[in-house]
Amino acid sequence: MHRFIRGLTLWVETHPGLTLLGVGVLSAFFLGVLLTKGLTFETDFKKFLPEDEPAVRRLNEAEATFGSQDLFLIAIEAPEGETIFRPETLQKFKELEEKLEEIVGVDEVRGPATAYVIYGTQDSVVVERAMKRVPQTPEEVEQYRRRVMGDRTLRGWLLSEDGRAGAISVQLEVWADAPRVVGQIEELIRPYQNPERIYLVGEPVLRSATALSMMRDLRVLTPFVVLVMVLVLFLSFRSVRGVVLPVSVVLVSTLWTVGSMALFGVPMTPFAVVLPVMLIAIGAADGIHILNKYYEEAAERSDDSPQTRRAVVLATMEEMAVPVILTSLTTAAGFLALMASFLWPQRQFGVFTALGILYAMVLSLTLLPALLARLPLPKWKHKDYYERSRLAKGLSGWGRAVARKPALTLIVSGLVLFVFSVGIPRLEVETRADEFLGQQHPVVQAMYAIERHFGGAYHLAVEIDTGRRDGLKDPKVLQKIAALDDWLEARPEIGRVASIADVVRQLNETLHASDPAYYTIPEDPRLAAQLFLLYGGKPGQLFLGDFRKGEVLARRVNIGSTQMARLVREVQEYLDKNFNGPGEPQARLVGPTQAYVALLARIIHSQITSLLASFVAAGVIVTLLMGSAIAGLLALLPLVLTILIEFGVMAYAGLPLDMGTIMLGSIAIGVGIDYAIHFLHRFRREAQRGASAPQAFQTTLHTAGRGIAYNAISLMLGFAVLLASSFQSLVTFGLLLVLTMLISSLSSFTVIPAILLLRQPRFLTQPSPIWEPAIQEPVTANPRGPLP
Amino acid sequence: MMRKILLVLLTLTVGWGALPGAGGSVAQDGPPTGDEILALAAEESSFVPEGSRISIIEFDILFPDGTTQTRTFAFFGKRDETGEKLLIYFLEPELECGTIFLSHDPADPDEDTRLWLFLSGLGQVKELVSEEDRNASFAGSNLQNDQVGGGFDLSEDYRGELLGEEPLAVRWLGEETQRVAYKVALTRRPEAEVDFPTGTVWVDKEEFLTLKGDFDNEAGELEQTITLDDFVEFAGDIVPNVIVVENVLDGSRTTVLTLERRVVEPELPDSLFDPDNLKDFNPEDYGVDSPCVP
Repeated sequence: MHRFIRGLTLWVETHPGLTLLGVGVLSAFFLGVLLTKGLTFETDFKKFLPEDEPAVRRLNEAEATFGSQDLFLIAIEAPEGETIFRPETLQKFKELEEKLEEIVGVDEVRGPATAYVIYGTQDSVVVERAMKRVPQTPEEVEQYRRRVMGDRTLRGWLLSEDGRAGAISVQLEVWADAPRVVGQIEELIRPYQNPERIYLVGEPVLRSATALSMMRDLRVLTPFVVLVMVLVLFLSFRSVRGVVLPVSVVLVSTLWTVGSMALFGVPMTPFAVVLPVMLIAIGAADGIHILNKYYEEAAERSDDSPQTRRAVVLATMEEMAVPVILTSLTTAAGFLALMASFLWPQRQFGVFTALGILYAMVLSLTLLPALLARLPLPKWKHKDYYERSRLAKGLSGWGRAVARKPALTLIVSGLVLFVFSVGIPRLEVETRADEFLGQQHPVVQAMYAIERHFGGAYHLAVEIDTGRRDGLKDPKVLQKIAALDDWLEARPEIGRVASIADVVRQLNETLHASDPAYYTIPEDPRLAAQLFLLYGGKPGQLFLGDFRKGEVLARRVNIGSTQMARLVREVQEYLDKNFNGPGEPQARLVGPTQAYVALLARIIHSQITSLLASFVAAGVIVTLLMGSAIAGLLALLPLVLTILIEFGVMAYAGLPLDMGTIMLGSIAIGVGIDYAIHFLHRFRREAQRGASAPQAFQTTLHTAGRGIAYNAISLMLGFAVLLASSFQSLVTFGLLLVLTMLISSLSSFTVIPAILLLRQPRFLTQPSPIWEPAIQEPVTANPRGPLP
Repeated sequence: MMRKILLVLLTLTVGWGALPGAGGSVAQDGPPTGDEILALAAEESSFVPEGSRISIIEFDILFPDGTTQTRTFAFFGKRDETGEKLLIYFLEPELECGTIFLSHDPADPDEDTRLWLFLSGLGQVKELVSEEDRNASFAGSNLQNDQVGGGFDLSEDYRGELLGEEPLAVRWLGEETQRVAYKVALTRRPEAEVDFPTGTVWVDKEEFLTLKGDFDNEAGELEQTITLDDFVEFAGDIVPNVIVVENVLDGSRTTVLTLERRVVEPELPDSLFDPDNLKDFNPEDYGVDSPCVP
């Protein structure tokens, strides 16, 4: 392997033109793919779910049978202290509803102005528009209010119980271009805002908002992270090549990665939107370490001949290729461990981030040396700059503290670990839409409004299957469904409930001169069946055309996943007790709520598997390439600390493990192990040169340690860019990644050297049979003198 | 709403229609224009003789969810100088048997149509006072209220442009044959309140009877097709026994089959159409077997 690296470096040094041409051709190819095929976006969370999962199959079957069960509402909330029963507000409803009906793709609009009320008298059944014209006088308004609030199909559904809000329900045509319609509706409602507040709620809205947020993040975060990288690299190396070369590598590798996605038709998802940021931040590491060593080698040379330049580059690559390949492989392995996730967007994110890291590795091993060999050696002694810097002083101080008391260092580390680990049982696994998008997000604000006024923005759906045509017209079945409705409505998590039983009760009451005493299920099956002849809605929403199956739709408030799991369990218990017997109608939960709860356990399980997989993969790679299991274990130690402290911090801070942060562990392993590898590799090289453990530690601290520090700072700042994300979940993710980089880098300077100072394992002085030849040079002069 | 539904059901299924050739001639030498064809086709469905009719009609509905529903009705219709009266008696399914819709459509256009409903399960007659949207679905079928209500009087809502002639395979007077039809492109009139802005209709060249219609939605996609078939002669008219309305996007379909139709002489009595008598109505008195009459 060493011969291969040497051969490769020599080749690129002597063929820089070809190297650049190759890189250029590939870059042009991927750019062409991006421009012609383009990158697609997928924001439908339901499509992220594995279709063979039973809970997901149930969800898809229910949607195929009954149609989408998601709400799509426009809610108008009256100003504080007012109700919507004012001519000005009612006028807005009328205008909006009329304009909505004109939008291409809108099938049905039902709101306080256009809805029909149905009521009965002794001799007639009356179906009339709730609002023939906008009421103007107080008497007219009061008459309208009494009419609509007296209708059970409107009160609580299109009008809040307290009259403070009204809702317009919008149903789209099956062929409608939902994002376009959503955009038009958003444009339509804008001028009507204030003093009333108008909210748009629904799954198409969420998808549209997610897509917009994703595109915004890509537009803003990507250049932002490049800017941050430029700044960090400049402050680290104080030279143009110190900025341009690593940035070129990451930009080209990112282009190749995104181009690969376009080539294979892989869409960008809310999970993958951080991919460019991750690649740019992580991909710069190879360049940083290579340049760091390059400056170190260049400082030892006095002439600037072409041969010297190539010798410097060769020495750099011979020294750095191993850790660069090692760290790239382990980082890629960390991301590839996400293949254990059963959510394909996470798998896709893992695969393409790993690919991007490998692209960066290849470019670092080819493009960088090809360019460096042609450039004059830096006149400016980076070493001199570094030795005067605060970083050098900080590392020295840190090194002195660890070297003086390695055992104490380990004890303190253990204590810190213990303190944070005990908090871990408090860690909750929760995912809520408001925490994913952020509570201030307009979509989330709209959900809160719907919850306040209409009992919930989500649906909990129960499918009732009688197994026979017209089974739902059986009064006994209807009675069971009515009892289920009442039981659900009594629960605090549930707002309003709609079912075929409500329809029958309402129609029965209407036919009996709107006498509330008849809000019951008729005992005569003929009457129960004949009532549907008055029903104006379409079958398929609450029941199928042959009345064999139907749905009970309950509006649910926004609750955490733990509470949701309890709700689902208790509802299923009720269903099993009151339905599901032999010869009885069969009832089961089918909506998104049950799918989510069923998948939650699998999500946690798959993430634990990913974590363990990346742990093992990283350890095995280090073991194989360093030729020592002890080396593998040592490299993993800082990661154990990092992950446990990380989870402890989250537990104490009340941050839950959600769909975003749950990927943290795998990424922490993949990225965090880099520091340990660089540290161990350099320490070992110094030991092989004959240095004592303290000497090797000091040298490592100020050489590889310097690179580690630059790398950690650049990653922390790079990930900090995520704080500007549109998604609250990614903001939290970014914060935690910053913390991860800090803990793992500090652990590499603490735990590993403390152990090595106390006891020097054999692998330190033995070359790896795979990578390295034995080192013949004498002990390297300590650039800063011996440690005190 | 119900007025238009019942009028056209009456027209199409009970068998009231124009006598062949009556009012349907084209005066000019060249082919008629698209608008003229639509007007003539409308005339064919509007010129009706007086009298009483009884028909047995079956609605076979295929819903978008894939389930099906079949309803069978007995239609009792009468048209005289006072207007049109229609009594629809539900024969099947069993749970709905005995339900009755009754409509009075006065000849005086200033008077409103009145509707009543008798539910055998309730045992009471209720008058229906409804302003429901004419675009709403009729009885869960693919026929919209206005579409059924407007029948094939497309001239009211559409402009026509003659595209040419095409042969269409139909069952005509008991034989499978090819009928030459005018193919007319439809464009919605600005004031029309119909769901489909464009479409195509095929009108029989000889009889000016509508044979087929294709209707496009706002996105320009074909959404609904209407096919008329099995044309028979009845009381001097040519009427279809089969009407199929299909939504090609959601897969739903309604098939209207006329199983039986006859002219009633002497005329059906006015007392038959009295809402106060609905409770005691027995279709077997008029030769219609009912599964729910004991």
